[in-house]
Amino acid sequence: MTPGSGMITGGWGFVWAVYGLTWTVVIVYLSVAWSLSRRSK
Amino acid sequence: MTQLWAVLRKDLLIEWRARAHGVALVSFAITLLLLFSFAVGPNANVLRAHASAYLWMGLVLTSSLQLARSFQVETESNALDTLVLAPVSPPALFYGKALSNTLQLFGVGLVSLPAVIALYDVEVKEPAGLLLLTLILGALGLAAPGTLYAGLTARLAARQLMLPLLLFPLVVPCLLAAVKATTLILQGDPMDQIGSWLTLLACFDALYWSLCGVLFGKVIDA
Amino acid sequence: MRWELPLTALGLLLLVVGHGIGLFVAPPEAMMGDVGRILYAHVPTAWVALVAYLAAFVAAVGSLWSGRFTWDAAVAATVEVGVVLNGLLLAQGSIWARPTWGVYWTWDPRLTTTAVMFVMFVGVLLLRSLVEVAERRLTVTAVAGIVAFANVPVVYFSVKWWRTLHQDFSSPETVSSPMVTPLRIAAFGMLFVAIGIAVMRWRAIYAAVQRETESPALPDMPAPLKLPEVP
Repeated sequence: MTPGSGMITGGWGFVWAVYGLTWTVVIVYLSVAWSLSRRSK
Repeated sequence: MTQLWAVLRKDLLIEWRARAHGVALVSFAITLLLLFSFAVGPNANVLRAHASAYLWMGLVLTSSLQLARSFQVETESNALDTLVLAPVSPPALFYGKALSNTLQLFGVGLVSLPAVIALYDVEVKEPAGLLLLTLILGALGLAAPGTLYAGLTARLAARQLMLPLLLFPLVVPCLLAAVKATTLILQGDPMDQIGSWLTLLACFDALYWSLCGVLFGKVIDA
Repeated sequence: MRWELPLTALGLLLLVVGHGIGLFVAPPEAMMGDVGRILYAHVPTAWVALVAYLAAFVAAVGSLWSGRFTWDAAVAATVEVGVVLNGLLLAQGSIWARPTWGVYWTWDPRLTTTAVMFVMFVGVLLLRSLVEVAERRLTVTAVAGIVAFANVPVVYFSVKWWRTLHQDFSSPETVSSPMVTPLRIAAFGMLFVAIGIAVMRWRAIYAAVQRETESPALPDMPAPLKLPEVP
């Protein structure tokens, strides 16, 4: 992967989709894991 | 070694005595081959091109039935507990059972061959011995992890689903290699690739025949 | 105690920084333009998923060896984290493939191996949920986990071999330097968050197994019967 101007223009929709999905999964999973680990105290 | 032989003989004897079931297994495999033709349609070129895929998919699907049954024999009337108590070492038990399963799967494959040749109108361009070798190596590849998983799932109510669910993703490399090798044998191998595929298959077999043999002891302990 | 909290917080911070740089500061990619920025989310996810499965393998071996539920809970936690990341990875890869190659799926060795891994480890979790006796569950989970992990390199190499006979979509292997820094930051961020989550899950799972396996308290002896006096 090298920097350049890119042959595909735009495509930010896909980028946001991926980052949105990633962060949603991280936050949701973390919250669930945290609340379950607290309950088991 | 004699233990292995005893286990093998026992399993094969049980299958022979219940050979109606073996017939049913083969009929199932051939029915699958028919279904593939119906699903794909009467396009002779397409069927011929993918004949080895249908053969191996048929074998994989049939294996889940055959493997589950190989342990069903033991769980009925609690024979498994008796077997564990008997002085049979777990590796001997595993290899005996796995070999029996290999032979049965090989048998199903062997009987499927004429059906494949007839239904899909294929020729065998490379030596037929290679075809038999591929069948054996593929059967070995299905039987080793299959026997382990059959043992793992034997006492579960959901075993009919869990055995294929666990086994099928695992045997992807075996399936890839077997189908590729068979296709080349049927269609001709101008670039001499069959050897590489059979080597991959053999490596898969070697890995799982050792790994599963080691793990099997833990599986039947509890 | 609860060291996973600061670790997770640090991880989240690193992830924000890494993604921030990757999204807004780093240059666009030569072939893929801005779409190449997906790299900073996708590659860390892939790496950490594999680390999770590796940890699961080590835990499974330990579990079979020692027979202790601490190891068993570790297998369950790490496989679970691995599966979640693996599923995410497949979704990311699919979305990334669309603008890059025009298709949602391609049989490239890495994506294919990821799909097979996902199904195998989901199978391990499913199997685990079906066994009710804790000791048996330990054995079954560990064996299934070991075999699943052993299969990962086998699948990868077979598919790679299989693919070289067809048109190959070669994925870039090397990443050049202005892009490596945010990638590394995001990767460590993801790793720390994943470790934090795995430890949290481990605590909950181990507590549940302990509750399940502690011997029931013996009922208190009833007071001795008072027999009526014999007249």
